[in-house]
Amino acid sequence: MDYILTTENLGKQYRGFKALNGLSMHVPKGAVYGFVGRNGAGKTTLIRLICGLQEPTAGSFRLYGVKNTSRAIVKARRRMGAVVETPSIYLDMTAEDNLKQQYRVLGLPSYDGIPELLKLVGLENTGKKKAKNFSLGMKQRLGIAVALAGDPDFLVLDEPVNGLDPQGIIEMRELILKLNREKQITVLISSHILDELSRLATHYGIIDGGRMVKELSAEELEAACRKCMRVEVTKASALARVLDGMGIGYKILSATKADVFAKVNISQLTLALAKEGCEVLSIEEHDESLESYFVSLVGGGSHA
Amino acid sequence: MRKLLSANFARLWKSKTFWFLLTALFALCLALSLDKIWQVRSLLAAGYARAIDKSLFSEAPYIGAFQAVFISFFLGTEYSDGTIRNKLVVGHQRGHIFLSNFVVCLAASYVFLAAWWVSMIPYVTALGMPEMGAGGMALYALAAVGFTAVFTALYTAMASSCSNKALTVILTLVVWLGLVIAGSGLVDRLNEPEMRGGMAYIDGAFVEIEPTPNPLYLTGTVRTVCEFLRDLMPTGQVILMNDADLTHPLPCTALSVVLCVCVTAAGAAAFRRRDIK
Repeated sequence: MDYILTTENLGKQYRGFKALNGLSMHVPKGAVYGFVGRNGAGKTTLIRLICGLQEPTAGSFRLYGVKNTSRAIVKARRRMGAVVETPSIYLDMTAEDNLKQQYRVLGLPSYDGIPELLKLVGLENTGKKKAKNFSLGMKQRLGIAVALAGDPDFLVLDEPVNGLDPQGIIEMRELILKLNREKQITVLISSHILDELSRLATHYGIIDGGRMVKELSAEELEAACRKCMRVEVTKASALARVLDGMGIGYKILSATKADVFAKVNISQLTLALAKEGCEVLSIEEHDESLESYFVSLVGGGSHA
Repeated sequence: MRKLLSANFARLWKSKTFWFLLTALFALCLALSLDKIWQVRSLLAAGYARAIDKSLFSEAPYIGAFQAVFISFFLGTEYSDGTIRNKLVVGHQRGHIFLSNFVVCLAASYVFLAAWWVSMIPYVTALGMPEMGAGGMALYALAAVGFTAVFTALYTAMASSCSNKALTVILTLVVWLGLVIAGSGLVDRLNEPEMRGGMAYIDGAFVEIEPTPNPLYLTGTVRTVCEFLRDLMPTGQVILMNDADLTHPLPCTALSVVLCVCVTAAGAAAFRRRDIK
């Protein structure tokens, strides 16, 4: 598989605090990679490192196969665009002037692409309105337009829907999907809004405490979050023994309850449990959400 | 680098802060120049002889303050609006970003300098050419070019290492004020006479007092070091220019060039290592 970005044991330490601690990740070409983690997990730190805003204190990363210590990383970065935390726009300039400024930074010879870019992000009618008078959603979209000015094939978005109203969230989602599907731009989105990510991402990386907890594709996540059976029995320990014997995945929820992650022949299960002196009290089908899957991976100590 | 310069100059052209400060500086210098014409004419009318050189360059200290405000706002915006990230993300090297910032701030500073010198035209037109002549003025202009570059290097380094625009404005102004006080103090101390004497009125008659050594007069190595520091510091040169006492403009310009290169190199090195959010 072709990867746009890979990191290998990447670390970043600020004085005594390890923001990233041996993080390894793989962003496949063409993916919408959802980078999930609670606040302070290290999402923004990783983005700062790959954008060249900060240098790693350990490990390395490769962008388009170019190692971060290589001089060629400068050229590799020209193929990416990013919106890190807040949109990077001149507040006392119009949307068009902001794009012209970025065109100059990129050394593009003509401003011909600007109207199309403004239309793409829905800011074609902003005229002489200064960016400081834009809504948060408009600023975010202008930030994305600036990031797209160099026609990148890798776009990094740090919490792009933070603070947006429901309409703004929908517009942002549609824009990201459009960029990915129509322009084949690989997108890395960091977010802690899991529900929103699940509508976009083709791949996920779940980070906690500066480490990658799990990387998986949307299909794998769907399988992991598949419908399960919530079984209530008189002795969960007996259920665990039986399920272990059957080679079926499960999660014990209490002394009498467990989630079973497979289609089980209920008669067989009931008979096997009866041999262990355990009775089945109830069985119901249950969905595990991305949220509960995330919590099961990183624990529920604080908000995701 | 060329792309960054193009972007920075385009932003400078549209910068309201730049045009406002330029207008304010020109208006201030022009007003002071007209006021000096009136003062010198009043003195001449009262029968006092006064060399016009002495007050020709009295606006010199203001340049550093206007530079401090402009550079803090211009470069601080890159941090406050986050736009410095747009340059780094697309692969521009930090050294190039720093240098292009320095170049554009230097160009703006020289426009400030030109505005000050243009404001001298009414003074020279009304009162005639100063005693130092066109050659002397050219050498003073050269020294001004030098100390303006040092101020630019210093403020660029400071603005590139501080993410808070308001704090940068305060810090650069504090540094400017501190340097003016230090430069002024050094010049005053070095101007102390070697011997103290004078006249005293004793028993209804003026008596000449025997000159005694001045304890404040600096001698030996201390004097040499203080003279070097005065000539090295941009504000030392500014104070000397203010008093039309800059007797050695060429060595001062050379020192400014060296200091400017050193401060720029140190600023660029610090900026290269800096974690940017």
